Amino acid sequence: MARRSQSSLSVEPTKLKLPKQKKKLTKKDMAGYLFSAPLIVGIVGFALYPMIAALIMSFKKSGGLLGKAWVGFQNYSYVLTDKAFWQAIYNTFYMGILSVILGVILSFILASLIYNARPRWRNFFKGIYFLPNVVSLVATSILFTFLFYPSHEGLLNYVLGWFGVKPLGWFSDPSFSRVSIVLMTLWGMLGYNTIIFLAALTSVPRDLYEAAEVDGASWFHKWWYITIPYLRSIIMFMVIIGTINGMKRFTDVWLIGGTAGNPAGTLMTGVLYIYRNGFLANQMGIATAASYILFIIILILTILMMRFNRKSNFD
Amino acid sequence: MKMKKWLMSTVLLILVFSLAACSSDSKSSSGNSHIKVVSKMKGTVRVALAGWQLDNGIDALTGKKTEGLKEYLKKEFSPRYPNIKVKLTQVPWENAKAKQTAMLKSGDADVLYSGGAFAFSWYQQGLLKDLNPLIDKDKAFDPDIYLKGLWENAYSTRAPDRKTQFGIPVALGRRAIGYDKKLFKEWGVEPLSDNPTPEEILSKAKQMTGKNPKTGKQNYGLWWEGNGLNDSTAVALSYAFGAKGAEGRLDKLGDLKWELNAPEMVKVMEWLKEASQYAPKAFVNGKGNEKWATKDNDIAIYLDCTGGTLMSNYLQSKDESLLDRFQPTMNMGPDGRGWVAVDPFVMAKNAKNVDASWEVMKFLTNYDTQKYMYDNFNQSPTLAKADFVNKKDAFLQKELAIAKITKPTLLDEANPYFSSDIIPEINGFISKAANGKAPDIQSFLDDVQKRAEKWSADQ
Repeated sequence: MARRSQSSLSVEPTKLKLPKQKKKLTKKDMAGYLFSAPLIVGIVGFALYPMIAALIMSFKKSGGLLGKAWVGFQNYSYVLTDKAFWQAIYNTFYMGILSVILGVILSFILASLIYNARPRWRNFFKGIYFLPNVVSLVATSILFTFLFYPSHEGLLNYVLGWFGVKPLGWFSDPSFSRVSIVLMTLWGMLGYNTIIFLAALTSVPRDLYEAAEVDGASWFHKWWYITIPYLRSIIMFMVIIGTINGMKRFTDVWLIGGTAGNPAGTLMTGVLYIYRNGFLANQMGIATAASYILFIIILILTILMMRFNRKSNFD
Repeated sequence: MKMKKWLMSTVLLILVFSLAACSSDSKSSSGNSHIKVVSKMKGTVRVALAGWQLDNGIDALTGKKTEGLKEYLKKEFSPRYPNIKVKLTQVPWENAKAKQTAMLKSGDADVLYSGGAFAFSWYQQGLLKDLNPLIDKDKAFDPDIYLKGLWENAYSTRAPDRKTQFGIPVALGRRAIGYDKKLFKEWGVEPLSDNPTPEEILSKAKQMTGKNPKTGKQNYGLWWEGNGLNDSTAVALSYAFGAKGAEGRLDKLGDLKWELNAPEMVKVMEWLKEASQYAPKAFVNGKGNEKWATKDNDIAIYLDCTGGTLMSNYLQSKDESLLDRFQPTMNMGPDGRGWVAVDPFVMAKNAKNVDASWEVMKFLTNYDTQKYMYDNFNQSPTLAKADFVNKKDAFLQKELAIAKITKPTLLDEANPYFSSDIIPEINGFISKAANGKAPDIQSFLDDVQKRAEKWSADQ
């Protein structure tokens, strides 16, 4: 009996596939569709449609009247051979990668320090480090143009003057401008990253630390061999989000460097290039082509990072 | 019983007074019962304004009360056009182009006020109405009230065919040269002439860069906006050195003959290269001019100065010595020519009620409205006879004189390639020069020329 029932069970999946019955929409299904409809309509109307419209536009003649003649890959060819675009991409990568590396490392160290602080101090430090995150990027940029003022009247140069350092052109000298933007970004993003890491740190099981302590592990060993591996997925998430945000950099560099990305084009980023062509020169074809190229670059970067993360997990 | 009667009469009195206060009386609400009705035309006009103040407020610097547009229209427009309803939408300057373009395309605005370059771009996209038929049939409209140079030559009001009128000028972008008489005196340098040449400016700026011989403080020979959105200083220099930049028409971008590496352009770049040594370092980021028009000023010559800060500081402090200390001159071009920006009113091609829209547009650009805007918000007029301008505002007088002689140039923000590539290239060159790393000028301009030709070929 048992054998018969077993064999009937083994053929059941194929039996299930055979009858092609029309599935009726139940009330429950309808409710599900109704609940998800606003989001789907929103995504289709405000994300999918603009993306398709932009893709179509990128294959059309660039200036003047919209909806003009098809030009094939001409806009893409223009962007890919424009040295201003490649300089913009280089600047974007330079500032993006530096911000991500320094941002993730510093905020992780900071989160670990706050996590190990006395409980009553934890909230205090969380609040202090998170404060810059609530300041708008416009206000931050204006604030930093004065902090980084390229004479002794700037706060940072004034302090450096005590040590005999001559005033540096933080935002006005091409050698320092990109690093200065990274420093400004770190000031703003550190708090947010720290809060995320702090939340993640609480998820590490205590018994792992206790077992390590029994084996005589130092605090550094516990941090290096338990905390970091355990938080690898969070670190990866922060790197990916940080990279995407870095690739989209616009407001701060535009406010500080203008449309030229002054000084010497060092603050010209990919999005600034798109803005310049789209909204100053009304060359929507070129702007949308550049947007798609940037989209592909971000997509490739994200895939590479996710693959790398999967491989590391497997190892 | 007595008490009840007393209470009833009190309530009745309150009601009578409340009703009297709430009743609509045209005489009391507008206070302009003497105004004659101009037209009984009916309709609703939707007006989208970039940056205008709609509600009453207070000037943050001077503390003066300002009258918002709503109040002004209620007092001055409604009595004249009692059946036209004006629906106002204020659009912040930030990203105004994108927002107003959307309004034009979706048919949500009939009349718009915006930046000159934006208006030209809308004209090129076929979104604006040609005003000539409306002007021709309206005997009451007089184009001669506007500065001739602006009416006939501005890219923001007239199409490249020099016939189609798509805008009416209403706000002037102010640009003259300013200098600090006190610093000139302290350095023992002759004040600027009324139409200074680029050479005069450069030689005097050079003399006044360094430690002030009287005060010992650091002074800078000149300042201009090193990351300017329209590179007005380079445009003024192009007038001065006779550099055309290009030949052709803006509606035929593919046929433009670029002259960006001509010897005259080399002179422009050489001037900018040397001048960058006499400006405070922060000028490459558009900063460094914070002390201008104050007692602590450290800049001798300020190129493309509006004079707005000076008037604000004067109105705030009532310090007449400031007006005497900071003086304007004409710009660097022939006869004092320089780049002049104009912001216009335009009408959407698919405006719903064209006649009513035209009446509103006329009203918003007329003498009275320009006077109202000047009195309340210090907006520079575009009128040939702006007799309401404060006589003490020497900068505005000079800027109106510059606007009178303005002539169009292809190195204008209305030129898409100039905006998207040439301006950033020049600004990039300036910042490299300011850091002592200026590239070879001829090869730099050859490269800009090559790229411009390629761009035109793709149009």
